[in-house]
Amino acid sequence: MKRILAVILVAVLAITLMPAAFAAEGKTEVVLWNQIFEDWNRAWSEKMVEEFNSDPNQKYTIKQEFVDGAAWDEKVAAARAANVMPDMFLVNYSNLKWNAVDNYIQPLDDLIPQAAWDDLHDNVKEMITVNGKKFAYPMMLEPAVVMYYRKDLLAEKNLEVPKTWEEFINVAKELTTNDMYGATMNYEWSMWGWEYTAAGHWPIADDWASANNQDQGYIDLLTFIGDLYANEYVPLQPLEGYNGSARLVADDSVAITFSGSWGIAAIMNDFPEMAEKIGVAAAPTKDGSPFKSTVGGWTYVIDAKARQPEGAAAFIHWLLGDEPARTASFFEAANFSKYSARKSVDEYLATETAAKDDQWMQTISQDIIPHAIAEPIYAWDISAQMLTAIGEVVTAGLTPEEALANAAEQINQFIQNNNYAEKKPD
Amino acid sequence: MSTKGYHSPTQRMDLRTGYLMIIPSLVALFIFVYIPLFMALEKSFTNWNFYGTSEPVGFRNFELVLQNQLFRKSIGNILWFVLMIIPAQMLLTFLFAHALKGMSTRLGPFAKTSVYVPTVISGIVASVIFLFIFNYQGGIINFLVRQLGMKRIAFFNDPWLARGIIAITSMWMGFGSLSLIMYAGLMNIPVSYYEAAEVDGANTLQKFLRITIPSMKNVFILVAINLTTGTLQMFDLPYLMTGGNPVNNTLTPMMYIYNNFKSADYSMGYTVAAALLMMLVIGTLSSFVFRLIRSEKSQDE
Amino acid sequence: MMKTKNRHSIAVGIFTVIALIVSAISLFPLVWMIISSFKEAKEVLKANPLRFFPTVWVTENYVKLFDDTTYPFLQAMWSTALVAVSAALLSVTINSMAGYAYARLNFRGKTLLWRLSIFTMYIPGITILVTSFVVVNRMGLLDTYWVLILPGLASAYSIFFFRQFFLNMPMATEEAALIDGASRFRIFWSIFIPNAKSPFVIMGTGAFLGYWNSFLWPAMTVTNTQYLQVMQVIRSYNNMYSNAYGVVLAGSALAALPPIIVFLIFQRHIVKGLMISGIK
Repeated sequence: MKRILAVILVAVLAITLMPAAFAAEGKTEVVLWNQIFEDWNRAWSEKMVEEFNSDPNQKYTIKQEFVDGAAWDEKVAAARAANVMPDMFLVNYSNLKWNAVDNYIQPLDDLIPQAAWDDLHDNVKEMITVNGKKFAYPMMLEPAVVMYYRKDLLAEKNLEVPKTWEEFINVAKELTTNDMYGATMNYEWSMWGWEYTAAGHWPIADDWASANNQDQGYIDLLTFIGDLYANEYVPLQPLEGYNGSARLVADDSVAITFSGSWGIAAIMNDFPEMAEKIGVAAAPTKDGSPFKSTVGGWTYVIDAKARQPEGAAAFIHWLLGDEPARTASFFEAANFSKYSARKSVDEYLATETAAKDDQWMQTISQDIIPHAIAEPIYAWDISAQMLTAIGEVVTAGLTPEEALANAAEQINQFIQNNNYAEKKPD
Repeated sequence: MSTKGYHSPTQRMDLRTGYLMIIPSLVALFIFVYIPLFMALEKSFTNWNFYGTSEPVGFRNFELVLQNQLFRKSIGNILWFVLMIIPAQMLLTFLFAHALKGMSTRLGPFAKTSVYVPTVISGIVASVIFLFIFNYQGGIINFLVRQLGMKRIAFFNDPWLARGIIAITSMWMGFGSLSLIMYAGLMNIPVSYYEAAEVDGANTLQKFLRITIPSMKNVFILVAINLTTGTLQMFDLPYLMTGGNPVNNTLTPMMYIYNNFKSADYSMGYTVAAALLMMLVIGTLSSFVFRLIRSEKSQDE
Repeated sequence: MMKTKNRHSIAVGIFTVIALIVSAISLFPLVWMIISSFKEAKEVLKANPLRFFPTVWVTENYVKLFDDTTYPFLQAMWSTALVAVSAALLSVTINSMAGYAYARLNFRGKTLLWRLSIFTMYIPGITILVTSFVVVNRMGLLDTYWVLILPGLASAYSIFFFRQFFLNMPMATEEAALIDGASRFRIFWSIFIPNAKSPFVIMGTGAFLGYWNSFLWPAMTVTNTQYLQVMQVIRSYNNMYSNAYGVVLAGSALAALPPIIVFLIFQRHIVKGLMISGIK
C-alpha cells in the first residue's frame, strides 16, 4: 500500500515539476494584468508589450497576463487577500477613485514626468485625481451612451433620427417587423447617463447624506422605459448585454440600439460591410435637449504594494504619455471608437491619421463628447437600487413613484449603515 | 459504536496504524477547512480590509447582514426554489421510479443510463444548454411559441418564469440519481407484502397507500432533506443563467455572498459574516440528515 | 389468467413508453447542444430550429475553439484531465484509509477525530472560499497543479461512505488474517479493497466529476495558461463569444464528453452503489 501511495505521489509530483518561469536577460520583470476585451485590443496590447520588451534602452520587461472580465473581480479580490497583486493592472475611472481611497493603488505624480501631465486635458485629469493626487495616467475616454441606428431602414420609412423620447417611441414602433425589433433598451450600468440627463443630478444628494431620486425627471424616465416595455416597442428581454449591443444593428436584429462608443470597433471588425448602413447619434431626451452621456474609460494603475513601481511607471509613460504616434496607434487600432486624453495625441490624430475623415468620430466629438459627464463614484449598491427601481416598473408593474420610493428607502439605509456621508472622497 | 465488544488480538498495534491511516485526511481537513474556518470566524468580527488594518467591530457585521434587504430577499428566493423544486422533483422521480420498475426489462438499463447522464454534466454546461433552449431571440421553445401564433416569451424577464427555468435546469441535473434512489427503495419492498395484501383482496390503490408509501417513508425523508440542503446552497445555475435577475428575483444567498466578496462596497468581514450565517442554517439541516442516516444504521445492526 | 396476463403486458407497455419518453426528454438537451454546435454561426440562433439538423454541417465552431489562443481549449482539457484523474486517485486513497481506520480500528481519540472530520461536511465551500485562498497563497501554491488538487482531496462525505461500507463487511476473514500475523495495511490492501469496488468507483468518479466540473476555485487560483481548467475556460468563452454561441456550444459539448465516458465505463458500479447509498 505504501509503495502504491508513493508511486502515485511521485507521479503527481512529476506532473507539477514543470520548468519554472524564465527571466529575461538582466532586466527586471514587471507584471501587468490586462483585461480581455476585443481581439484587436488584445493584439495591440501584445504588440506594444513586445515592442517595449525588445527596446534595449528599457531596464524593465513587462510580463502581461490577460484575465477575462467574467473572472476579473474574484481574481483581484483573492489576489489582494493574499498579497499577490501584479505591479500594475487595468482599472476604469469610476473604480479608480475607490481603489485610491482604500489605498489599493499608489499616486503617480512623482513617477511620471511633468510634461506628460501637462499634456492631459483638464477634465480628464480630474477623473484620475483623488485628494489632490493623481493615481493614473489616463489611456483613453469612451462615451458610454451612443445611439446606433440603421440609416437604410429609417430612410425606407422616411423617418428622421429621433431626438426626443416621443420620436424614439414612434420610430421604434414603425421599424418593428416580424423578424426585427424597432429598438432595444437595456437597463444596466449605462443608465447613469440617462438618469443624470433626465434629472440633472445623481440619485444621491451631493453630500451623500441621503437619496435624491424622487423628482419629476426620474419619474419621467421610469415612465418612458416602462412604456417601451409595456407596449413591446423593445424586446422584453435584452437580446444582448449592453456592452455588446452594437452588433444588433449590424446583424439585423434591431433597427436602433444603444451601446458605448466601443461598439464602433465591434462593427468595423465583425461587420465591416454593414458600416455604411449604420449611423451614430446622441441618445434622445425628453425634450430634445442634449443627452449627457457619462464618459468613462480604462487605464493602468500601480498597485500600492507593487514591487516595481518605477518599472510600471516607466511602461505607462512609454505607452501612454510619451510619443504621440505610439499612443495614437491605439486609437487607430480601435477604429477611432475611443478618444484621447491628451492634447498632443488629438493633434496627431487630426492631422496624421484617417480620423479626420471619420463620420462617426465627428458626430461623437461634436454631439456627444461636449455634453459628456464623468461617471459617478458612489457605491455600486446605490446605482443597483436605481436599476432595481426600473426593473420593478418593467417586470413587477410598480408605478415609477412606488419604485423610486423603494429605492430611496434602500439607498438611505445603505447610507446610514455605512456612514456613507463621511466617506465621500474629494 | 459498531466496534463495541470487538477485541482484536493485536489491538495494541491499532494505535500506530490507526493514526497513520487517518493522518493524511486529517491534515488535509485541518489545513484546507479548519484553518480557513477559524480565520473566517476571526475576521467576521472585524472590518477586514486587505490593504488596511482590520479593526474589531463586534457583532456589527452580523447585524448589518440580517438587516440587509437584499440578503433577506435572497433568503426568500431560495425558499421559493425549495418549494418549487422539492415537491415536484420528488413526485416526478417517484413516478418515474414506478415506470422503471414496471417497464420492459430489456429497455430498463437504457432508461436508467439516459436519465443518469445529465447528472454528470457541470452546472456551466447545463446553463449553456438551457439558456440556449430558452433563448429569447432564437431558442427552440420561443420558436415553437411563435409557430403557435403567440408572441415570444421573455423567460428571463419574468421573476416566476426565470425561477421556473432555473428550477427545471436544476431538476434535469438531479433527476437521474434521485430516480434511481427511489427505484432502489421500491425494489427493496418485499414482494411478499404485496402478495399478502392481494390475498386480503386489496386493490392497486390500497396496496399503494398501505404498502408502498409507508415502506418508502425513509427514502422520501432522505431524498427530501438532501434535496433541500442542496437547493439551499444553489449557486452556479442562477449565477450563470440570470446573474440574479430579473430584479434580484433569482438571487440566492450563496450568490449574495459571492457578489459581496467580489464587490468593494462592503468589507470582507461583512461577507464572511454572511457566509457564516448561511453555514449555520445549512449545517443544522445537514446534521439532521446525518442523524437520520445514523439512526437508520443503528436500527440495522 | 389470459386476461391478467394481457393487462400486465399492457401495463408494461405503458410504463415502457413513459420511461422512454422521460429518457428522451433527459437526453434531448444534450443532443440539441451537440447538433447545434455543428451549425453555422448565423443558423445557431436565427434559423428554424425545427429543421433540427444543420442545413450545412460545419466544423467552424470547433475550428474557432481550437484556434483560441487566449484560452487554449485542448490544453485546458488535458490539464483538467490530469488534475481530475490524479485527484480522484489520491482522494479515494486517503479517504478509504481513513474510512477503514474509523470503521475497523481502535485507537485513542477516535470518536473525537471522527467527529472533527465529519463536521467539515456541514461547511459550505463558499464560507471558507476567501480564507482558503489566503491559506493556499501562504503555502505558495498559487498557479500550480497542487492548488487545484490538494484542497478538495479529503472529503468528509467520502470518509463517511467508506466507513459505512467497511462497517458492513464480515469480521471473520479479518480476524483470521490478524491471527496469522498480517498487518492492518496488508489486510486493508488484500481483503478490504478487493471487496469494495463499488465505493471506490463511486467515490472515485464522484471526485473526478467534482474536479472536472469546478470553475470558481480555478478561476481564483490559476492564471498561467498551462493550468487553466476546462470549465473555467468555458465560462470565459461564454463571456467572450456572446455573439458566436456555436463556439460555446462546441466547447460545452466536448467538455461534457469525458464525464459521460467515465460514467458509461463505470455505470454498472455507479448505479449499483447509488442504490446502496440511497437505502443505507
